Amino acid sequence: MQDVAAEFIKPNDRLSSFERLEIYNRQYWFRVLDCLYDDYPGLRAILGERKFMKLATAYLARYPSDSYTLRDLGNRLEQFLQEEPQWSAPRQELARDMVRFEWAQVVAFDGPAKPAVTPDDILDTPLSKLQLDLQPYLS
Amino acid sequence: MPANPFNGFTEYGIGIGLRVPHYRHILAKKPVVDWFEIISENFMVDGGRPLEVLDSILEQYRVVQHGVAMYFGSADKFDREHQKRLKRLVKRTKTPWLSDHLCWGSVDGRYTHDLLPMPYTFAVARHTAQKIREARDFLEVPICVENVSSYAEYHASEMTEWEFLSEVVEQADCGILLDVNNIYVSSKNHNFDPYDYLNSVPHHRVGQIHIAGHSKFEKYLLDTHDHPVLDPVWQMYAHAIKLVGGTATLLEWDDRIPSFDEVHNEALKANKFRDEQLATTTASDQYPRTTA
Repeated sequence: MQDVAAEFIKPNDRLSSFERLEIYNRQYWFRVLDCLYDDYPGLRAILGERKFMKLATAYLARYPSDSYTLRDLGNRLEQFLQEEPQWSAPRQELARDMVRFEWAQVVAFDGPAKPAVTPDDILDTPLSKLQLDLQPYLS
Repeated sequence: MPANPFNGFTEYGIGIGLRVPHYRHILAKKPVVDWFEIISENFMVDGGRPLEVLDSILEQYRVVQHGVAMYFGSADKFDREHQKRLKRLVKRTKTPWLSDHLCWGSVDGRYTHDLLPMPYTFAVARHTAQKIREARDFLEVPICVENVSSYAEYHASEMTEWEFLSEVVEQADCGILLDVNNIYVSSKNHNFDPYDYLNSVPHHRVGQIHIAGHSKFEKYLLDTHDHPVLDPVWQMYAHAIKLVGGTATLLEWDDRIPSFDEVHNEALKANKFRDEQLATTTASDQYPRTTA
């Protein structure tokens, strides 16, 4: 890896080519792991900190970000837990449920919303024609 | 000059970043702030709390958009969904200009969420300028491109960073968001004189300035935006103001964010340098003669 870095990155008087590349590598992992850490406090509680970080690292190695926004970083985490259940053993089912719930919270936070129904809307509509739906970000 | 085509001919003063820990204070206390800078990608959503807060802010304040994911230097074409959402946001905020970084950060649909430097070559400058022009034509708003902090240089580079920046903005006919802290950080990491950088960029293209704090490690500086602005950066800012005039200035504070008042007071220190620059401007500078 040192040779690969040296092929395209210049060293300076303090750092080798590899060490300069390593700064970006460290920052990348701090950034993406921090994001999952914040978005999945429930999963962290179920697995414990150490197991959570191992799971998060394995997940991101398998499914690196495919979106311009970090908000979407966990969009395949449930799928990953299905594919590689060993990372959440022995509480696989609880972990999957928690991931589903916490991802749903991410979606609900900034999902599209229709105007909320008001008491006047209900009073003005005949009961036979009244139909209530959940907001799209909940369903 | 402060008002120019690259900032929509506006004369904005000192602004600060709109950050989540300050939402409640801003919405409740309505402090006097000249303008807020928002990170575009945080508000390119379909609804919910982010847009609710943004709309409340827009009722009372001026907002300028700053992006982190256009990646003008990436070899990939623009993400069309990103561009469409960005344009919707531009219409919502009525931002007088839009900024993003002179960097790459994605390849083959994978994103680093970082601002990676490019090799400073003529071919890369041509490619980057073409993407900036394409973005500007689609978004229909002036664009300023920001110099990034960097920790690596490439063997392939054919010119200095400031020569590269100048080449890109001239070919793209776009503005510069001059990040003074980034120049300082890069100058220490790559052993160049930051004043060479400041003196050499096309000053008439500077539409906005960034100032920020950084962190010092044993062998490099890291652009962390989690400290007050250091004295050498303030001195560089004073020099920049002499070169470009009292241009819209934004203090970035993105991590370990203190109270709103602390961040705002730090930003307002910039007024001292702007006022000094204005005081040394002569009458003929302010009202240049024109010949009939």
